[in-house]
Amino acid sequence: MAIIEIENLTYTYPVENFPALHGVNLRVEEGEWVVVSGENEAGKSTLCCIIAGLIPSVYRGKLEGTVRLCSLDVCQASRKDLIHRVGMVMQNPFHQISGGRFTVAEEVAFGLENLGVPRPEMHWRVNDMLAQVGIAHLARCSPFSLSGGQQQLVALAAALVMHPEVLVLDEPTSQLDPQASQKVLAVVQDLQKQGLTVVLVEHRLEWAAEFASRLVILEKGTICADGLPAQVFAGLAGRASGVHFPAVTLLGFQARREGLWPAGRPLPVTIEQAVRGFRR
Amino acid sequence: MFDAAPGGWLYHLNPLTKLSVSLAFILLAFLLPSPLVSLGLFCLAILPLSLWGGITLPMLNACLRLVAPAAGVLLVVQGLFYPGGQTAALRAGPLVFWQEGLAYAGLISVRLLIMVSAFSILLATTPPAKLAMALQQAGLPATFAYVLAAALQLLPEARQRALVILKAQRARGLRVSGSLLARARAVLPLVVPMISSTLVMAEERAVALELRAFRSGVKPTTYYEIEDAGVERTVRWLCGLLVLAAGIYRLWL
Ligand SMILES: Nc1ncnc2c1ncn2[C@@H]1O[C@H](COP(=O)(O)OP(=O)(O)OP(=O)(O)O)[C@@H](O)[C@H]1O
Ligand SMILES: [Mg+2]
Repeated sequence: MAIIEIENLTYTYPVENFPALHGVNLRVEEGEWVVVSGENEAGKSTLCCIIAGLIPSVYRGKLEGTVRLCSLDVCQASRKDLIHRVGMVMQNPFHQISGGRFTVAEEVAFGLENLGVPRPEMHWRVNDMLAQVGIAHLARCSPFSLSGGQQQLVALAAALVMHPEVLVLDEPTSQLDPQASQKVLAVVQDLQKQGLTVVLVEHRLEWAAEFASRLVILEKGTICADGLPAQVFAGLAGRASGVHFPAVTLLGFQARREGLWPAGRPLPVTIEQAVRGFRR
Repeated sequence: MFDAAPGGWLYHLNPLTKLSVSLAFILLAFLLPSPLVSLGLFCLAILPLSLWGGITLPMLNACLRLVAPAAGVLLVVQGLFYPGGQTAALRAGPLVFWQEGLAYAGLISVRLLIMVSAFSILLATTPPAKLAMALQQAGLPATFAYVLAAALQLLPEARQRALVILKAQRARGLRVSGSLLARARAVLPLVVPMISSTLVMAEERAVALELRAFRSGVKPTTYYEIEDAGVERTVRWLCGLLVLAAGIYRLWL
């Protein structure tokens, strides 16, 4: 049973003439880690909003085709049912702070408060999540006093504390330094190993390809490639797709052209794969 | 409940108590016609409270910046032009300062002093979000409480960000002189990122709130309970009674 089922989706924002997504088909199984990439304006954020259940209830517009999240049809399900199941972290850490709370702990609890979760349950869930994300020591700080990386961890904790089945991350590390980015992704990786389904939009495939079980490339609102990272890279070779290939993969291409890498062997995506490939 | 507490024990009081006491001081100053009452309130209540909380200096600083200039203007204007002026207090050439005018200016200034000092104690020792939370606990709808706290917390933050943009634009050679058109053209690159980032912020934050079930139709719970000791409730009742008594005194005596 797929956890995300998108069939023949075409979506147009209100007052826009052209669809932001069209003819999109995507099935994601439980526990997968899907990385989505593509050039600017390709529709990546729109796809995130679809998977986060924000369309059509929050962003209106015209939706054709079917979208089912955790077996719920987004056109029929209530916001409350969807909020429990899918969480999302966006690009800008500061803009995700609610602004109405004084401490990090309360900020993380905000979603639970709004769902009317009783106080004792809220306390253990928040404390658990702060510890899991590694910001327990910041519980009593003001969210405004934190660095961008720490704020993004707060946003992550705030999404995860709702215990979602699917986590959508829309370029969550594009405004962070490499160290902070590593931290955010390490937390996500941990949870994915415990069964969380992850959809991550990322430009820097360099490291996204390392943990992705699947790579989806969007181009002008349609999916132009979908599969194992190595397959996708092989398929895109020589095309202008706006995708930044990892350096090891480029090395693989070159090696193949020079006869150092057999044509039948999948292209390397990580450094280990390259090393193993060259050893053989 | 919170770390880094300015104002010592004042910080830990229920914000509603601080709000009630501040409002009571202000209402008393306005209801009782003698400036001596207000002065007494300042010296015998507000000043000791601020000393106790260790925030006298910022409080006096606020008074100096806000009340002193207003008092100066009031003394000159009311002293010279008070309509019912009869007793001359001071003559400087052709100018006459009337005693009644000076007294009136004094009264208004002292009331201003109470207003500014009382509120500066409240604000210096109370995070806006905590005040909003206390109001919510007392029955204010959660949406209002959120809007109040977010406005009070986000506006200074947004201003800070605008200043950062201004600095960046200046560093890139923004000139703010020349003809009107030239100036308008120069300011444009400053205003555009400011407005657009505010707009995006509003939209992104709206989505972020949506994802966290804001206004989901359920009655929200709160993560912290703001303590409300019995003594504090008594103090609030006393404040109400005092104001009531002053009102009756004002109306009938
Ligand atoms: N809220 C909106 N209202 C109307 N049109 C929108 C909205 N958001 C995005 N669009 C349009 O939809 C298309 C796809 O945008 P989207 O933000 O999904 O792309 P993206 O791949 O995330 O781009 P980027 O790499 O810049 O983040 C664009 O043409 C954009 O102008
Ligand atoms: Mg985007």
